[in-house]
Amino acid sequence: MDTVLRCSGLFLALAVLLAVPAARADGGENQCFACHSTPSRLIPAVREVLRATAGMPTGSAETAGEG
Amino acid sequence: MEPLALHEKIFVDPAFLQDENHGQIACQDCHGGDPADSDWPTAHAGVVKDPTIRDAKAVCGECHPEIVESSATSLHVTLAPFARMIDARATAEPDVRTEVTAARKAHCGQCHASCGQCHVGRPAYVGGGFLAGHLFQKTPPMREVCTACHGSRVENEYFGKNPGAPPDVHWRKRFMRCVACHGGQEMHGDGRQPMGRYDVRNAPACLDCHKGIMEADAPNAEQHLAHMYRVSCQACHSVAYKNCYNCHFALDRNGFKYFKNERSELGFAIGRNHQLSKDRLQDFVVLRHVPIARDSFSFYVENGLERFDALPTWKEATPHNIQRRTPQNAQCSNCHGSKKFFLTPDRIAAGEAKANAPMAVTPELLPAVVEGKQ
Repeated sequence: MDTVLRCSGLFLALAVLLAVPAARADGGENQCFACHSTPSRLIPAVREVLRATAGMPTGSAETAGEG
Repeated sequence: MEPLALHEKIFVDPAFLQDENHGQIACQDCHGGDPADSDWPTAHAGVVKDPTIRDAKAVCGECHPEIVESSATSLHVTLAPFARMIDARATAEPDVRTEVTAARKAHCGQCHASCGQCHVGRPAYVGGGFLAGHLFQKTPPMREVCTACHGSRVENEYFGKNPGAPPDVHWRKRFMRCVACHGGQEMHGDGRQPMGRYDVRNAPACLDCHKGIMEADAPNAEQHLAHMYRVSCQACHSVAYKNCYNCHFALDRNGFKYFKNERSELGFAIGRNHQLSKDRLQDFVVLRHVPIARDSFSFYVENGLERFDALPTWKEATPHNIQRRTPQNAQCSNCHGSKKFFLTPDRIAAGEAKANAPMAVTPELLPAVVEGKQ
């Protein structure tokens, strides 16, 4: 009985530990973190940005010499 | 330094959540935006990329009040000497002066630092991007932060990237990183407004470490004693460094700012110290030519730097390419009785003679020949 209780306690503790970050990342509470720390979400968004800004100059090509 | 891909710049390492301090602050508390919105374009409305540049007190000040307060006047934040130097050369005529100030702010104010641009991301001046997935770095990494901005001179000199020039001995022999000399107290300032980098308290001095060089049994004690109040350490121990000439600022057809630095070349010049202070007592110091030109801002306004001659274009320098043995300290006669290493009037461009008169070493100021020594 003791062993069962101990195992259940351990399982519960582990479940809570694992669930906390999951809730923060995926539970809809913080989309910032969910996207910025998940490559499968971040990279498509970045590609979208790059497509939208393709060909747009981001700075001058005329700079010459050491700064 | 390799540029980062866009996704690398903004990827937040999940380990950031384990930071028991910064990792517990909600993203939107510092950056704004809507964390509940799963549609990224609308979620980013109002997002501030670097919240520490706008109001460091609001985001860092709660936990780091003293550092935030003192940093507000540090040179990395204010870049105050740029304004002081250019204002001193600018015409007094108000309309023209306004144009010069606007141009100066546009071009010379791009590289100032913020808490975040040293401790979280690469400086915006070099394209930004997280240093380590938004994990805060107590000590900024040297190559991604310090030499990312201080590249043309410090980086190339310290790492021996200039043709024919060896790396600085502190790097070559000890792999000393920038923070070994330039610690947090210096970087964060002390709350006062320094006049320039040689007026910064807590700035390093060679003697902080090399304390014993004048003791009787120290190697070259005689030379150190004889020269320490006459010449700066760099006059004997640095080698050729970068000098820049004739930089001009303008906007291209798309409205982007650019500069053209006409000439950069390695050279070495010892000149007079015209900023004697209790910390810099030596008569002679190393001088570096700075990029300013009489018509640097002519794209914006004619004759903007009407008082160009008010300040020298050869300015005291502390090159980061220190060597124990150098061409000039190989023998006494290289300096004593020789003008080879000095900024003599004939080395100064004709149009800059007046500006640099206080720095020039005229024949009567050259060190005399030392009898019996070569």
